[in-house]
Amino acid sequence: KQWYQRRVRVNERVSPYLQESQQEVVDCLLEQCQSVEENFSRASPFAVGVHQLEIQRIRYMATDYLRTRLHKIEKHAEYALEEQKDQDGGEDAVLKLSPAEFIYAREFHRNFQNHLKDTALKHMPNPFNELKKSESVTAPNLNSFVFFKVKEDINDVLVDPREIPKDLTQGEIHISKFLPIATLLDQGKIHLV
Amino acid sequence: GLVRIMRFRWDHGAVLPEEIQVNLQEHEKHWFSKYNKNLANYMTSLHGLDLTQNTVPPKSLKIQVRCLQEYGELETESGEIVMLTMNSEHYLPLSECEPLIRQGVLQHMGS
Repeated sequence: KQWYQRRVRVNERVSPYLQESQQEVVDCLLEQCQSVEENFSRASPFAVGVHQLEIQRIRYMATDYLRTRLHKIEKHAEYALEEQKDQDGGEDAVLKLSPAEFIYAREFHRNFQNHLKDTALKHMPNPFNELKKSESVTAPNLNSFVFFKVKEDINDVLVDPREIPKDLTQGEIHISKFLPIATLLDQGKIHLV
Repeated sequence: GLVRIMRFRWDHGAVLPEEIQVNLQEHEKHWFSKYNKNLANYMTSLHGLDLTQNTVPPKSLKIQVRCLQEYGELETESGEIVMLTMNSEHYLPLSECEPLIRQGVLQHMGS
């Protein structure tokens, strides 16, 4: 499970936009940490030291993961909320935001808008004193470049629309714009480095 | 402007030091307080995990640090009281040192 968390954390770190929320993995790891800590009183001091370092490492990975996500939410709050709204109700809805993150995003966005209104917009004459949605959304740059490693052989991948589709072999490392390979990432066929 | 104030929360904690507070306008303090409240609310869903801590990957449980200020007494989690005076050196748990290193009170003596 730790290996998986490491992978999840790097994917989130490198990608320009939020990946699907892996909150359950985080919660599970943290629960395990807690139960290990509760057993400390029964273990030898040496074992406790080793476990403590392990736990601190896991805590670091979990906090770094959640922090990265939170900062992305802050940068693209409105975009994330809109995306989630469009998905709602669909059976295959891929929810990028965990329930708590959704509330955070909504509150953050609301605070931000209110702040802009109170400090600047209310002093402006109509029709300039309202925020238009199309003008205020900051979308993430899905065309930024990322490095990725191929986990299994994939055929006919259109990495660059100006070139012909390529075959990717397991173990290779490539660089590409994020958007064309985003689906491969979701499918678990590649992971970011 | 707004992003700077958000960073303050991550670097300095929920209560801003006096030097910063005097330089903020009312509406900026208002933004900070709302941001702080939202963050605190979110962190309650994390079973006690504080996202403003654990900012560096831990290499060892304890680290060697030097104190850069006349800080005074520090009570560690284990109940021990450590006296942090100018230039004093200590071997302390990473979790205790981390916030103080960020605030500039302690300096990590490289391995």
